[in-house]
Amino acid sequence: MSDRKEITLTVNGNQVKGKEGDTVLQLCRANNIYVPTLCFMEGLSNVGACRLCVVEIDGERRINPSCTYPARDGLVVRTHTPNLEKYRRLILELMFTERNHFCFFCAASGDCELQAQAYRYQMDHARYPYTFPALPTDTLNDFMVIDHNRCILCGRCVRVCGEVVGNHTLDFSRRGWRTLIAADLNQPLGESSCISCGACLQACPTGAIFSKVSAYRGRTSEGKVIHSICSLCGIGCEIDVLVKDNNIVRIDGANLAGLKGQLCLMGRFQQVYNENQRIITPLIRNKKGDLEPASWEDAMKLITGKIKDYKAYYGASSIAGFASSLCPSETLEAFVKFMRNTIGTSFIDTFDGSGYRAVIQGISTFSKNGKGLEIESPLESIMDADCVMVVGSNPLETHPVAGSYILRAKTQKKVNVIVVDSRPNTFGFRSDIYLRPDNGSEAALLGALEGLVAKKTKSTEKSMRFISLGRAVEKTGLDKDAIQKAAAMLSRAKNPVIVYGDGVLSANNPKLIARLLDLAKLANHDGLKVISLKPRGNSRGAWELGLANQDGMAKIKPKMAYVLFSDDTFETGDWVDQVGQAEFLVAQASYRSQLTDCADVVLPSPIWAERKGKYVSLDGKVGHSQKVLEPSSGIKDDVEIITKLAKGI
Amino acid sequence: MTVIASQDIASTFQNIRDHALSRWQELWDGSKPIIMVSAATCGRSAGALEVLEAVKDELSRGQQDVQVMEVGCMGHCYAEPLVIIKKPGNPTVVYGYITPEKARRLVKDYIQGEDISPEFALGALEENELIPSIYDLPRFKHEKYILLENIGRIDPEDIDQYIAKGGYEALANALQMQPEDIIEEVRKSGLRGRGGAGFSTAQKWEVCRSSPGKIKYLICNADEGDPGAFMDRAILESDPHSVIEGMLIAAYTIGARHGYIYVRAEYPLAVHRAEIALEQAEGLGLLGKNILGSSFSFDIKPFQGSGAFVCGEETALIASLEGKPGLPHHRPPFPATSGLNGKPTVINNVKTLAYVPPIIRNGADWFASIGTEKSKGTAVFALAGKVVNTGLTEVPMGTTLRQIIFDVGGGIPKGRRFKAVQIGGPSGGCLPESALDMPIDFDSLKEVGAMMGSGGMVVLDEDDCMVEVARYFLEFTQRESCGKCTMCRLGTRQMLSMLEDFTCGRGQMQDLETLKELAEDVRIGSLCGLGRTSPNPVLTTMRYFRDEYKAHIEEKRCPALMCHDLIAYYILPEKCERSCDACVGTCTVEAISSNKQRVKVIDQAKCVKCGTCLTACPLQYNAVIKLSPPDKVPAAKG
Repeated sequence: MSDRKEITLTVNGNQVKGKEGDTVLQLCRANNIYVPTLCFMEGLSNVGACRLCVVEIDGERRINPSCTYPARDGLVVRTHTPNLEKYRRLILELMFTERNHFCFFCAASGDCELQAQAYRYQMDHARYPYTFPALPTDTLNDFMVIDHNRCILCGRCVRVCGEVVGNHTLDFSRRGWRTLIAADLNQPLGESSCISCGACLQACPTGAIFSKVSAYRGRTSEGKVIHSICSLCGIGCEIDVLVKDNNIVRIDGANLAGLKGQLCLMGRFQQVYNENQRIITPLIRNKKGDLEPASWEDAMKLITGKIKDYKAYYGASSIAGFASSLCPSETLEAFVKFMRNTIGTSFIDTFDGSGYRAVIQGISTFSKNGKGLEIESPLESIMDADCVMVVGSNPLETHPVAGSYILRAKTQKKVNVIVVDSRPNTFGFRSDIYLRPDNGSEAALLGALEGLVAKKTKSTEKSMRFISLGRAVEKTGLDKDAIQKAAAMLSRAKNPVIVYGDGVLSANNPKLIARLLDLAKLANHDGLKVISLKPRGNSRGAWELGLANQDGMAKIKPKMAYVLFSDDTFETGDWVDQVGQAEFLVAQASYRSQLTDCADVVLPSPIWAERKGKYVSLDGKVGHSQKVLEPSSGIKDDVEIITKLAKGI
Repeated sequence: MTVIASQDIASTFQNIRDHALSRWQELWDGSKPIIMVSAATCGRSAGALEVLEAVKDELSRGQQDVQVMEVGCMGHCYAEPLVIIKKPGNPTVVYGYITPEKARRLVKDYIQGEDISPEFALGALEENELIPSIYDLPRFKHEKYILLENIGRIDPEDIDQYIAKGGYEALANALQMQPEDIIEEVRKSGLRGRGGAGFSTAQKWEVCRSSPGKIKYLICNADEGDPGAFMDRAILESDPHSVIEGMLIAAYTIGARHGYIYVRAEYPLAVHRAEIALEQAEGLGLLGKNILGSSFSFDIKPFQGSGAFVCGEETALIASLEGKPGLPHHRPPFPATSGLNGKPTVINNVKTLAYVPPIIRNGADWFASIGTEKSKGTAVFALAGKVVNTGLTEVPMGTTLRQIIFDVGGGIPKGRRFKAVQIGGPSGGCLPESALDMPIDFDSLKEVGAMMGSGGMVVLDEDDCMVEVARYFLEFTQRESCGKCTMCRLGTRQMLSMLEDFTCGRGQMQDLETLKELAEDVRIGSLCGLGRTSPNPVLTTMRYFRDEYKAHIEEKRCPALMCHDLIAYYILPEKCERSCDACVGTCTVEAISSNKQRVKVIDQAKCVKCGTCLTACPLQYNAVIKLSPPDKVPAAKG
């Protein structure tokens, strides 16, 4: 858009330059001319509803909202005449009389745009009677409350829900002054299609939508905002963390309307508050079998002693190490060095499971040139795609922001979406075609799709072995028409992207991955567009460090296990059985869990907010997470602990 | 693109017309009597279908071959149901106020007998010696029919009748013209949009035509939402082809391939007749692919709106058509450059489109010769309220209000005094007696604070309270406000609450200033036309009837004795007939009792002001009166 024509306007008597296609408001903002706004929000469509940004324009009979008025060369604009200021004050008066805007009871007081405008216009009273309708409050969502009494109907939540999140849960119900924000067909938010991403909450200029975990805990002005990245799922969303008195008050998306600032319920709410019991000192299991607090020296000594013992008796390969890929690359690197070089074992793994290893094997079978996850596409390629096929994943549950990309592409760019999953998948109901093959028959379906796409696109690819439609119908139990429709949709597309997730990973089948890659290559005219939704924030980083591609891990039976668990969530997986068999178990963890309950030694570990480090996102971009909280005195950094242990040996 | 020689279009159309003309001649000049029953919505609600049934039933008893036709509304709604009878050898006569019984008599006496029944006749449609011509009525001195020409005279469900009356000739001509020439012709005619704002039609078309893009749309706005306005309904029900032909010419001019008629779902008959008309036009090759053998293709779909007043606003209408909630959108961009699905779109009112065929047929100069300097042609009004002849009328622009209300409308019933006329529905204004001699057109109305609007004209007499009228219209717009923009959503609400205070006697003098200021701000600052025009009834009543506002506020008095809280019912002791107990018996709350002299007295504490006693009191006594303010009621004696 750099070739847009330059235009010159007169704003408040000064010559101001801008680009053709800008609105008057954009141009004013770019030139540091303040125009008050309420319903305007960067990145959303402009509606001109609140009327606060009105300006006088020569040649116009009426005053016009600057947020919707296209700037033209030679336009003469006035932004602050006595009439306009009077008019803006009137609007604020009307807004304050509409519902209940008594700031001292409001969760948003101090962070409220309406309140700020009222102060700006010195609105000490309203000339009109207060109407005080008795409006309901919707509290059924786990994280958010909608208080209609605070709502000014600016519609920012509605627009952000539709235009940015792509979920279209919120809309207006009824009309006129009776208008209320409603979820779906007027369901309570907690029972609606809402994915609790909290974008509406961040967009709300008043206290009409507020967070249950952040309300009344502090204002922005009372704390410090630290810019960081979210390390939970590997999308690498940019976050602004509000910290007050070494407590996290709130997490916001750093750029809500941009691609990576939108956040999901995990990133926005679950990280602010959880009820897990924190481990603050090292623990050693005593003779009675109970874990009791111990000093760092005792715990370290016990661990180094045991390592030496096991190494001496059974050899280094009797010791296995597991690390959570929620840890930053620096920690994982230290862990790898410690296990490989110091102890000398090659049995190291993450908790991402053997399915994830199958992905890597599948890729190497497919690419044959030793390439790994590099062949995958960036997440943004979803926005440029003309068809998205989601295999074995409900991104709205595992990677909600990626799910939003797909929904946004679908609603804004009319991109077709195909969902393939043998499990029940609610994302299927948002797709154009939802295929549910019988369990374990995904590969057959993909093979048949390949055959059909190859026939349609007249591909000359010979190396692939397709599966006949008849056989696929037999194996998958799907309707013939449905498979053909999906194939037609794929072959119509020039730039389809395949996204796959936990359903494919848990199949633990490299051949399925290879099939999927074959199909992606065949269907896309420019090459290959595949994105895998990896389980954890630094899964790809762990793979790059060689943590995730150790062969033969499934067969080992370690005598001793060292688990760098950190603040991961305990879920059963292959590694649990292996760890369970170990005679001696060391757990380095932030919270009490089933794992620490059976460990022999437990070392405290910092949580995400107490460490900084490098994260590699699921599409290979490097981001840096910042330390936002000071850990309490008993907690040491993971790298420091590992280095100390290494020294002890 | 294959160029079709214009002779081909002309000859194709000639064939269609010849067929239609021969059918029409067979019907009209044949030996069969014709009975036409005016059965548009207005007629039907007055009982036209029962009349039709009675006519058919009565005919079935005789042997005579009679053509019975349902036609549209002639505009004489006050006299509905109307029946028009054409009997060979006799003049065509219009009969009014026909009941099923009268219809049976007409069939027996006139069709089967020879009695032309002048007692039921409104007038004859042609000069004759038996029955006075309907054109001798004073209204025809002022009326000039362009849009209403065919209305009530042809069967709207028969395309041939429309063609026989000259229909679709303009389309055939237009298809042989260059679109630029059509725009020029329309520009020369001075046609302005009849939706209310009076924007130049030619300019709108030109902007849309010159907007880049292959796909363009044409929408006919038949979402007539004003209370008391029914011109668009009447035209669609009575002469749908005139609108379709106008749409075809407009579409050819702007280069549209698809068109919609956005019509209210509350107009089922209009929808039904439009659908039939579309089907018939398509059947004759006048709609659809390669119209009249030319390279021009166009199709029209009717779309039923769900009764939101704001959807009459262009951008809200488009949103509704796109399947979104009917909320208006900011302008610019205007629909002519970015409308339906983001494509250039022209939205014209039913009447605007219906003017196009006559303009093409008769030439721009003919149209421009009618009307005033800046407003050309005629204006169609729906007369309602306190006027004798309610119904439709079409007069040249520049006719005065007095001529419309007193000559066409027949004045105020029951000898009451004229007080005001509300023009343009909830967006319009109330004009007082002093404005009666003003020639009306788009600009003169705007000058005095009203607007042409869609053309509703509600006449008010001395019994109407202007504060209450303003409150009524504001309540309507306030309820219909979509709520998107602050100014309209909240401004109208606060204005309404102030007006409610006035009508309840709770107002303060300084509120008048606050109200005026707020009204001005709502007018200049609202997002769409609904908000911008909603203060008009308030502003005009405050301008012309300030005394009434003052009486409400300062004296707590309603001069028109209309505002419930400001009046009291009182029985004049000197007029009360002591042996009559009519009021006592009807009082719903037992508030009336007799005193020792048997004079009836109302217990003001019990009275709920329902007014039944006033109705019950026999006319010769007229003892019950309304008083305002209520404290004027003298204290009861003994």
